[in-house]
Amino acid sequence: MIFYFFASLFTWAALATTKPQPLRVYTYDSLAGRSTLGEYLNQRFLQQTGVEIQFVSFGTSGEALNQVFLEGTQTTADVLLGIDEVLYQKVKDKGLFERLGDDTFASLEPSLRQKGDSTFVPFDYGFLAFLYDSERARVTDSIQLKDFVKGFEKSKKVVIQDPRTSTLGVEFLVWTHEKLGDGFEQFWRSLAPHILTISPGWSGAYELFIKKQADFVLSYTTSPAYHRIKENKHNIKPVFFTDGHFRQVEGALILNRSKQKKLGEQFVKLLLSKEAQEQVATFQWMYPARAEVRLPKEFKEIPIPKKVVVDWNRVAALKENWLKKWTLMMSQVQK
Amino acid sequence: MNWILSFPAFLILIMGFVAPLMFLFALGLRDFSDSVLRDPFLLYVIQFTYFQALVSSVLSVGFGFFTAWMIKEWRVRGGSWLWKICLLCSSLPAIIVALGILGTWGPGGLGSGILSGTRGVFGWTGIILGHVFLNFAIPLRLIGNALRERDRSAEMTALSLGMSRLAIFGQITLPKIKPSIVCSFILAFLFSSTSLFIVLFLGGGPRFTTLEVSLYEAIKLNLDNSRACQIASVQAIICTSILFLYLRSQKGSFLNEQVHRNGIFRPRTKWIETIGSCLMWSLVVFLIGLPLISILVDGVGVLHFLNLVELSRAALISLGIAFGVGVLSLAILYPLLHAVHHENSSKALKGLSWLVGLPQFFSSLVVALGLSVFYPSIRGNNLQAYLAIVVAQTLFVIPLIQFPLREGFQRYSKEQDLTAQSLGANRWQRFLWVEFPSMKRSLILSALIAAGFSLGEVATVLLFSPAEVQTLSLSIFQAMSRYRFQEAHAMTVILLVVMVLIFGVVGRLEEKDD
Amino acid sequence: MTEIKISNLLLERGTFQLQLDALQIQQGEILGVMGKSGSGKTSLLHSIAGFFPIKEGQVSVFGREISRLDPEKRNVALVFQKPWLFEHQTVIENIFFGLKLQGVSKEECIRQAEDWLKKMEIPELRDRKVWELSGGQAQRVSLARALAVGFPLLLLDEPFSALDAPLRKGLRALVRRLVKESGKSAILVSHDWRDIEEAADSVLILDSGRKVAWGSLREIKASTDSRVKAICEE
Repeated sequence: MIFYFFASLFTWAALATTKPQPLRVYTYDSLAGRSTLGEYLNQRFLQQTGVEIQFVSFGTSGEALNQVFLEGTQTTADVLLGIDEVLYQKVKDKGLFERLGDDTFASLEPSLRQKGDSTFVPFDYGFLAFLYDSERARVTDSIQLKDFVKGFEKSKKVVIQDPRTSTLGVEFLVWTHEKLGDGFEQFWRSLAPHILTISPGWSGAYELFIKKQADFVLSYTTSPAYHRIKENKHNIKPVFFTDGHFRQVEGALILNRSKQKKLGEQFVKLLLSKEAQEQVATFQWMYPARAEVRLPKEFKEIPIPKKVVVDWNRVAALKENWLKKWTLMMSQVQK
Repeated sequence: MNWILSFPAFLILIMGFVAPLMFLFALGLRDFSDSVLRDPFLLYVIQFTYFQALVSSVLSVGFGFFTAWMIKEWRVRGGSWLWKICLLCSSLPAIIVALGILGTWGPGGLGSGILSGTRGVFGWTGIILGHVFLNFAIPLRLIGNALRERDRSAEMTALSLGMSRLAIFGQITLPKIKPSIVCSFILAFLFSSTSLFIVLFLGGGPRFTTLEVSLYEAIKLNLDNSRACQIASVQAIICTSILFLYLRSQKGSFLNEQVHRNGIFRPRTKWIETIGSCLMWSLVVFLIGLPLISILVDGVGVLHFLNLVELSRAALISLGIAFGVGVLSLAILYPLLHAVHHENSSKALKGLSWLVGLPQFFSSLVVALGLSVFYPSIRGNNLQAYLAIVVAQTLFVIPLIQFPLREGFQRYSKEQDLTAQSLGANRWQRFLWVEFPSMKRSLILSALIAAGFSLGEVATVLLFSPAEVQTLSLSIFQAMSRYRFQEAHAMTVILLVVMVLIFGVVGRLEEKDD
Repeated sequence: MTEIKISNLLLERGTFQLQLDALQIQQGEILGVMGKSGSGKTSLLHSIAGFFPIKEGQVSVFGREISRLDPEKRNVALVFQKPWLFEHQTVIENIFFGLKLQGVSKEECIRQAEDWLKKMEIPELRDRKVWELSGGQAQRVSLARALAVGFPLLLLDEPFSALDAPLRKGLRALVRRLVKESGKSAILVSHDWRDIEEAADSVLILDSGRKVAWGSLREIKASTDSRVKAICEE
């Protein structure tokens, strides 16, 4: 009896140590959990490699990245998933990430890869845009960003995200600086009276828009595809600016402290595979980074806008100043 | 023996709160520069934080006092229902409260006409409404209990000698309940100054930034841990000062006189009673009921969007965590309070026992940041994560449940214990057959409050949970971030119904003394 | 046979001190203890029960030295001024509480408790909740509880003082009769001479922690000591 007890104990211990270590992926919570792209990737990865993915989810990608900093050399993260380009600028020179071969990027839309960079692997992208409900508001065609607010009735309300707490908010701030230059302050001062509220995140802002409390909301050009596919509603539309839209690109990064870099590379390969990229549209409601991936027709109905050119070095150098200036200005201008 | 019984409480306090916080401050103060304090925007933020907290707490205490008076003294009709509804308010997740207020007072809402021509609900109006909604239950409970427990014989004597009721209130009643007013003001001030979601969602923008929001911003996107630690340090120093005020106000805040319950402030005619009751109910419906109705209206029509499998799973996990929190918090706090109230405990132990309330004086973001920094490897491992969530929530729950437990111990007299001992009962027999049965009501009350808090809590789940751990509250957040707003509204209704059930029982248990 | 013996007792707490060189109580005797407030009456009682530390001296009951034992092991039942009934229990459950602790079967507990209810003349209160009782009824239950447990010594700390005059009179006589019938000894503390006169056999008078007089009821009544007279006539 005692022998069998210790034998089973020993077997259990042996099995426990021989079970493969999962691949730990830090990401934001919409990418992990049930009915997400993360769940799909986990199932496929397990089939392909016999290894599970352990998603560690955070409120935002910024928090995920911050956790890696806090953990320092003790970090157990193998991959960071869902980091956008603006956030990446903050950390790209810290030597934290593994450089990958050119073959990793071969299948991607060529413009998505940052020049001279081999660590940030784009997996989806979208264009920022103001959305409106065509049953409640009308928008002039062929306008530029600087003209967005001109002609607004006094009662028209816009909801935007706070650049201090939201990636979307930061990107809109960068967009207005890059496109408007010296006209940045004037644009924001003219927008301010129409701002219903500056929401801390995307979901709060979108909720207000859906409940018809705001006429315009900052989101993505592809957001209407959700309503077309899931709700059969065609009244939510993006405002298109002739001078271009900011393109948000999300990527994956393999940490060079990871003890499972090979597995990390396999994960990235799976992420960029045709099968996985075909899921991006209806999980993320963004465009897949891989070129020539079949999209649902509702996505094809939405025109792809011109991309605003961004000087990332300038953004990296000046973003904090822009944020401070914006904060001070809005604290005075807001009623 | 006393110190052995107290050990678990102090252990969780030190390992779960003091040590992580000290570590956090060490990080923050290491790179501390006075540029933090010379930052004009930060100075504005400090000023705004405490000014809005002052206004919020004055109004919360005012409304809470009025409601407590109407329920406990005036004996407004339907008072027991009113009590339960009001208790429920303070336990709802802030995000749900914000949505309810937006639904009522936002553009297109029932009350939006009243706010037309102003900035609407966003800004000062929304922040004050939200804080009052969440915090008025503190003065309601503390002042309500003080009103109930006081000995009215002095008031009756004064009335019989010809003193006016107003004078009696000012000279006799008010001094008796003053400690509870001060105590509830301090707590309401503290919670208003450290609130996050109400300011984020109903404030909206840099003008309405508090220290908590600045901290949130530093952690969320700026990856500026140093600045976060510095802001946390500034906030913690102010919170500690508030803590001392609170501890001083504790003296005399517990009344247990239980003599002559009949009041002299009851309405003298049926007409006055009816008008008063209508006014009270109107006020509560206006300020509290409409946002709750708005949540229900939003959610009931879309219940068919619920994914029952996901919902059941999330509900089971939520209830499991809530159960764990209830059990752990009682297992830790009960022995400590038993030691304080029954053994020959030292003054030092009695004083130190109030330290278990420390976590409530610091922002949950600061505490969460401290835990995250001190125990960075907990995330991701399921078992450790569940344990961490339960322990972290227990830290926040212990300050809440110490009040009903202390009241229970106050009612369980030393003489009953001595009587049982003289009849031959040893320590364990006295605990099992006398103390525990008489504390049953307080224990159930505390467990329910702990469970209610846990069900609505999101911050610790967000902090520690692996992706598979989806509680009901977290599911609501995640549904909203994935365009599934109808599902989020439907789940909110479910959560609200569960909270109503829990706090219905809590209210019923509390009113048994009346 | 000397049932209860106290010798060279010294109690101290802060500036208070109680000294008692010798005290004996026979089996079946009721000793009344009187004195002004602060004279040490309650402290004496509590020290015998084990709730007040004994600095020096000995207390023995039935030849058994109890002064260093835990209160629950002394076999001494204490009744307070207020009934302090257990609120979560009914009247009958309160009464057989002590019996249950001794391992007596439930049926026997109930039988004995019902017997005590009859003796206390309150059989109709058997299943009542304690908060439904009047002050007098509650004190009868408290006394029944202390008597039912069967300990040889009963300590009564002003058990009648919270009751009105008619109730006190009835209860004094009842307590005396029941204590005598059960063969127990009792120490009754009171500041009311009528309690002592009607219930006690002997009297101990204390003043500022010292024995002033001790003797039979008749001896104390006949005492010419002005301190004794002052206390008895208050």
